[in-house]
This record gives sequence, structure tokens and C-alpha cells, in this order.
Amino acid sequence: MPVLLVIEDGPEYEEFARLFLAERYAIVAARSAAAALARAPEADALLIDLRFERARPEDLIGDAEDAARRLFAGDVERARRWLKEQQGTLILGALREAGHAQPAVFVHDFAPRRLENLNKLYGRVGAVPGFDARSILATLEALA
Amino acid sequence: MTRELAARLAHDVGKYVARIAKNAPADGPFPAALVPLLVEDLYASPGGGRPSARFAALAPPGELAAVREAFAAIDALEDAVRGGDPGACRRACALALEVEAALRASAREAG
Repeated sequence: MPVLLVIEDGPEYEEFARLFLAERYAIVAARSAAAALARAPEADALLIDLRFERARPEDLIGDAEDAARRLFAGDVERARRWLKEQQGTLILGALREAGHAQPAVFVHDFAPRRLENLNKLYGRVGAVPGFDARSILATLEALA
Repeated sequence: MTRELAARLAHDVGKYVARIAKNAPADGPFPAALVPLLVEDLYASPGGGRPSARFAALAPPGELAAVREAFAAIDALEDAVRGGDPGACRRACALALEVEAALRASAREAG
């Protein structure tokens, strides 16, 4: 059975996946970028949360000071919030950089242009607006 | 409403409140195995607090009245949902889907 790696900062995606996706995938979970990088070699597909509001600062990836300089006129607090709000895409970037090219689906209502950009940057990225198991499975299949 | 706030409401409240509601079977008996997770979605937010309280804390006063009403109805169903009453669970699922749709529409509108 293919393995789905669920990447999020809480238990909700994993609970959902074990209930509604487990007929098609063996479910494994990671709560941080480091854990996702460690588990990625065994995964055939990725299900990723975008916002990591509950993550501990030390578990986040991304350089807040650099982001503050580049994006927020030096406002480090705003940059720290941004790192949490975009952590899922940053983790996907780290996975791609490490050579993990599995299909990745976000449960998020991205604007079409944003999704297009994510695909240009990372490849094989899909998005489903809510926890809709059928749509998630169909999107993962389409990207496989 | 700011784009950031609308996105936060759609994510922190709308998406999670409808997690089980979106996948519960449309007819037949409401699966008992789903009741505890439905209760979690409807009455405990990720990160703490009830979704209705999280919504009330974040939403600007006077906006999203339909969502306020839906949450009032969801909260009124709490005892019956916790008890696994199938009619209450189905009604609460329908209300949760209304909340999700309204908050997603609001986020799209905000850009």
C-alpha cells in the first residue's frame, strides 16, 4: 500500500486521514520540517497543512530576520507570523530541495494564480479547499 | 474585513469545523465512530476554545451574521450531538458546512 505522509502542527489531518484515506494509503505523520524530512523517504505522497499556528518557534523553518528584511521592511514580528502562516510551503520547498518529488496536496483554498506559482516552484502540487476525502484522493491520483 | 483576518477565519474556523461534516455519509445511520470527532470539530478548536468562541473573538462586529446564527444553532445542539443523536448530528453537519462555505466565500471576497 502506498504511504501518505501527513505534515501538520496538530492531530487533525492525521485523524482525518486515518478515518477517510486509510483504505488507499498507509498513514504516517510529521509535525515539523525536521520530522517531515526524516519520514519523506518512505512516503509516496504528501498531505500538507499550510498554517502552523501551533508550532513551537524552534520547530519552524525559515529565517525570520531575512524574511523581515526582504518582505516586511525589517518587521521581525510580522515575519515570524508569516513563517507560521506559510510554513507548509516552506516545508515543501525543503523537501523538494532534498530531492523528494512526491505529489503534494494542501488542504487550502489557494487562489488559482498562487497554486500555479507553487507548481512552477515545486512541481506536482495540488490543493483542495476543505477536508473532502474524495477530492483529496482524486487530486493525489491526478498528480501521481 | 482584512484579507489576513478573512483567511484566518476560513482556515482556523471554517476548515476545521467542517472536517467530519464533509465526509459523513449522506444517508443511513450516523456512524457512531464519527461522533467523538464531530464533537471535537464543533465544540473544540485546534489550539483551544470552541469554534463559536474563536469566531466571535475574531469576526468584526456586525459582519457574517449568518455564521453567527449557524454557530448559535450548532451550540444549541451540543447535548444531542454529544449524545450521538443522529438527527442532531446531521443537522449540525449541515450547519458546519454552511459555516465553512460562508467563511470561504468571505475569504475569497477579501482577496
